[in-house]
Amino acid sequence: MSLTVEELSESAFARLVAVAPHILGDPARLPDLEARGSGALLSALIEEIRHSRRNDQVWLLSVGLTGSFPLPDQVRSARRALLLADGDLAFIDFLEATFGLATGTESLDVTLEVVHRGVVIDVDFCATHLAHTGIQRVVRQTMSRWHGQRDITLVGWSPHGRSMRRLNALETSRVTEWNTYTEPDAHEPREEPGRAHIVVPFESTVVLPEVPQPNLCNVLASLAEFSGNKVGLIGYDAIPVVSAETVPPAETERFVNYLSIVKHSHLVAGISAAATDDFLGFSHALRAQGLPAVPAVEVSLPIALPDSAREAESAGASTPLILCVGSQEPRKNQDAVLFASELLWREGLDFRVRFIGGGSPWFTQGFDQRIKALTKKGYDVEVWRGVRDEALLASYAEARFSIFPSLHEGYGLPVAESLAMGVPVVTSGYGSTAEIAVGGGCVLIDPRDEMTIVDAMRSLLVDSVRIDQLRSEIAARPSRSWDDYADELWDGLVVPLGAPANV
Amino acid sequence: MPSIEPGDNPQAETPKKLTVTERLKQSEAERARLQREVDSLSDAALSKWLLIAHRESSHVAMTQTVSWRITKPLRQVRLVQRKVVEVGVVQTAQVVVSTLQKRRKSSGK
Repeated sequence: MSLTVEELSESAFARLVAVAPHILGDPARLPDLEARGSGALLSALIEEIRHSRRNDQVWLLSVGLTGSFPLPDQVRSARRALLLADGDLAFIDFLEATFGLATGTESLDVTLEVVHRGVVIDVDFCATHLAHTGIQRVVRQTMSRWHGQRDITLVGWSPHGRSMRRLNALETSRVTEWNTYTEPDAHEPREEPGRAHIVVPFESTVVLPEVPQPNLCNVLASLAEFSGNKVGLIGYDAIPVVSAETVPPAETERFVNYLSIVKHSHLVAGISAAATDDFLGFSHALRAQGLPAVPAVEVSLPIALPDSAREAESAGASTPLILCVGSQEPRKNQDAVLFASELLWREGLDFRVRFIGGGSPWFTQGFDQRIKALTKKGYDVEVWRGVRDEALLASYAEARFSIFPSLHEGYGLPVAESLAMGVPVVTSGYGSTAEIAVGGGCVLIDPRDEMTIVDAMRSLLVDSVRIDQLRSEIAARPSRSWDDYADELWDGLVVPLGAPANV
Repeated sequence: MPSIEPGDNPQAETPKKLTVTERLKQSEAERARLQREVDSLSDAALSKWLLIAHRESSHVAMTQTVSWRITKPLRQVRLVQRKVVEVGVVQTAQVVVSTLQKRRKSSGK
């Protein structure tokens, strides 16, 4: 889009006016500087920073001038330029140092809003995607409770990841009203976007409840290191690094980039004791880089159902159903379930197996062929993909027990959901799934020893007393809801970083 | 010899002597004029910088260009090459075929 110099100057002036109160030592000077124009205002802001030498102000002025969040090297070079400059030339040197940032921006015609001492929450992925697996479930369950009740600003990112922006109405609904909103038809005409408006947190708390997209990692690392904002994040797991053999190489690369944010963040809330340990391990390793350890606290996820239809009806089929929920990938060990099932079918046991979850075609292609081969042999096995929560809960209601023999988990939501539905679970006897099992209702197995899976499945298929006993254990578990989790996360992650406590 | 003091020349017109206050006012006015000039030059420099940066930034829109779009198949071929190395020809071919079938189905062809 072609813009006139007047349009560019006007929006740059408005941005500088917006950031000025947070840089000027004496904000009373602002009206006079405004009257003198953008050049004078920028010069005054530069002079202030040359005296204060504050990195957060270098970061903020860079954003104000360019409408783009700077990368770590761009903050460093702008700072060096300011400190090295001969007084009168500092203005020119700063323009030169930030030219690369300005040319990389999506548009210089943007307006800007500083969120000062607020709570800014980056929910970009959930706002712009329809995926709804583990992380998205946690984000949507939590944000639907914070939204409207607490003073928060939900943000996403500009199309090329240069700056934060407020969510539009549809995006807000995707994050906060997942089970009730209606996704519009893709062919419906979209509202024409006007002049872009960016959100700039300053001296605020920035919460990252998602694992950010790879293109955002460097800019968020810069924000965490230089902007003066306190960055807190939910720590799901470190599987792409510590169990790298179980994920595609691109996942590992993505996670390693994510660690560049973690190392400069201020607090991690792990979703289980195991996940918290993973992040503490990384945190201790930072000493070798001369960086302070990042504290990590455990705020475990609840044993609870998603908010949709809580009353699920059992289909009442006579053949027992074994349910295996979770994305289909080698780490989740679904092939071991297929193996154990085939052995038990050959023994003459009569049961059905249902897998629910999606997956990358690089795995599901082969997995589907194995399912097809078993079906051809006459065994009752099926895969459901892309189902909504109602169908998932109905399957739990129908199941005799569920099975989740994952090799490595940050938490294990399918275990928690199964227990919340009163359905016994066969799951891995270590890590986060073993933590969940402590309250009862689970049979623990070694996921690397397939015969323990076979034994556990056989036992729960033939022994109804055992099933009843597990169901009683589940009924006696103390309840902890998504409401509890949302409150505990606010108190454990957001309040320590400076936000108001629960009222 | 009598000394000649400045201003003693009766033929020369005597310039009006400015009081300190007037000279200060004059200097302040001059300073303000110069300040306005500096401010105006800074404004102009900043405007020029914005315009040049704006023109340079057009490369960000590269992904929307025709050339980017027409080279998309080349990038996809490169992805397939990488996957062949990673997971082998058979699995790559299966995924490619299934992806193409899904696309055809979703586009209604």
